[in-house]
Amino acid sequence: MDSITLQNYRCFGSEEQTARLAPLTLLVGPNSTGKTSFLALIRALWDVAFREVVPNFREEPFDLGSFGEIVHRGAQRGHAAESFAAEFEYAYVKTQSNTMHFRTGFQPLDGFPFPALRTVAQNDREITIDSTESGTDFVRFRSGDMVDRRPWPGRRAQSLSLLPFRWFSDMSIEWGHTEGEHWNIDLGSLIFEPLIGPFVAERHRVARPFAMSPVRSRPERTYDPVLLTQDPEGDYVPSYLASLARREADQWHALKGRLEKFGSISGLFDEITVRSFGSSPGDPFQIHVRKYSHIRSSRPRKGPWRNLIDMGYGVSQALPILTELLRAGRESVVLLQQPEVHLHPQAQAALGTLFCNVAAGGRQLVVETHSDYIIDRVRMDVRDGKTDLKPEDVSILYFEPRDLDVKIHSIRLDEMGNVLDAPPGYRKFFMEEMRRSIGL
Amino acid sequence: MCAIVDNNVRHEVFGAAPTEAGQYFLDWLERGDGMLALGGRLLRDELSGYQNFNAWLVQALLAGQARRVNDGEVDAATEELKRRGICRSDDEHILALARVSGARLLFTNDRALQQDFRDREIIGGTRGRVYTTVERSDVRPAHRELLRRTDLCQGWPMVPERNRRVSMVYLFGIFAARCRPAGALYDARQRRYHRYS
Repeated sequence: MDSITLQNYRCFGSEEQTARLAPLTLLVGPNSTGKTSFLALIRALWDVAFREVVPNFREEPFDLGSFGEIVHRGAQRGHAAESFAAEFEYAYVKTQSNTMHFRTGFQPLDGFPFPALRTVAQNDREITIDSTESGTDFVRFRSGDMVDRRPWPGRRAQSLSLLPFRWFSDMSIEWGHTEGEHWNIDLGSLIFEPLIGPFVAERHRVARPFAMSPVRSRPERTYDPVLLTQDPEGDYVPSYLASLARREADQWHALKGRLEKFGSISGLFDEITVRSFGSSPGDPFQIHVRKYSHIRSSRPRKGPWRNLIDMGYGVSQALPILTELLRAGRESVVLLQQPEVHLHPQAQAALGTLFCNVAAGGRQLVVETHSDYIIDRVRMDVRDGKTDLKPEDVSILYFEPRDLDVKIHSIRLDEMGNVLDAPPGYRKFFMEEMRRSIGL
Repeated sequence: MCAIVDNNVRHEVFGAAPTEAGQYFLDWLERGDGMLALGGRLLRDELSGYQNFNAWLVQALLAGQARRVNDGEVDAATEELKRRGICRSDDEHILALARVSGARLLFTNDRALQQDFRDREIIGGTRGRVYTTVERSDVRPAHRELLRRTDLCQGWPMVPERNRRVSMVYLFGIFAARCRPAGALYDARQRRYHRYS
């Protein structure tokens, strides 16, 4: 996704707002300014666009409640919007002509948001499925000056199973009812192939956004293997590591090497291993780590192995994030909330470098953070060329409280690491604290 | 607006006991109305040794209130000015920073440097303006007027650009669909209704 536009959603008011997304997007701003709601919207939009399902705004780790809690409410009692809308821009090949827009408008259905309008648009072509009126889905298309709208036969609108866009592949319509003019339009070649075809193909390429919870699962002294199903708190991670160590030696050693490299840079640990109590896949196991002493630089002294639960909380809280980002074969967008919790500034800064490297490798990251160390490390790594990430590959979204609403500012970096387009008041608190600290 | 602070007045802005005009200048920077241009020898050898300034700079860079320019370009421009020998002052590194960064406001009390900074031939393009406390260190109308100007920064937009693309100016909401006249279709891209049958 390259940008998101939203309106009347949570704390974002009736003014349309567009936020630029990049391979690495950092969400910053005070508490309760809609950063988590923004993450939830990314996943919801993806679900509507690519899975063609009614999104669940209560799915973990985001629980936004029912329609009444999600739609924007003004200051005055009873002044809630009737609907909210969102759009994303997506370039499946990075050229302007291949930029696709997916728009959706939500209205309440049984108390929850229902995507009643869905539009896919590219250049001068556009298809909209309109389910705003109960009883019938309407299909509207536009190609250049040609515009048409007609009911889709045999469907009840406002059904939990959405009418899929791919059904238009072999549709033809009659166009032109003026005297003497009458054409049969083949929608398949006119609309489907150039517009919907790449759109449908893209959803097979990119996995669903994976959202991690701000608090990860508590470490355990001994684990029993669990099903390897991704969950926001990372409950699956110890079992995933044990499974990999038992069955995929090459992948395990590659991942172990990457984890240990990060662990060493961040100061969290230098080695990690899985200790299994038996030889069968169902046997319990433990995760152990150890640190080295680097006082004598020529030859570090290895410390004792320790159970994960006996280490500081930072190690177990960081491990799910590290595993998710460093494991092979993942292409989904990752939505992270407060990855820095429990981490020392050194480890927070190392996370910034890791984010740069993962994003440069082609995986889109959207990170909600309060960590200056992460933001500054990203800025420095981009400036100093320590990563393949270019300045335009980083977007800092500043969520600024304005009266009772929130305004999103898209802040950029340049090649010197300078912060561009920062609004007045951005980091005002930090500047004031610094002035007080040094007595200015 | 982009500004440069000369080393000889740094204590007036970043010192423990700033002058009134220096304080006014710092407040102006921190409001986001101006930004400090940095690079080359001025940053490397002079200002960087100043502890309070270092602390300020770390936060100002993150806040977008200070901008670094390429040291190599500043150094090259410094050498070029020295080679041409047209400066009255010996602060070619500051004038080179102005040339490279586009900053056209200088806080200095050095009279020779002030003359150079106002010389189009030396700094190129628009002539520079000088913020000074040579005669009085309280805030004068001239200080206020200088910091109200918005045309003293070449190349760096001070007003955040609208990064919304033309193709994104509309958003198709339910409201529009609901408000359409009977028998009409709302075309969000052209913001008008089409008749259909």
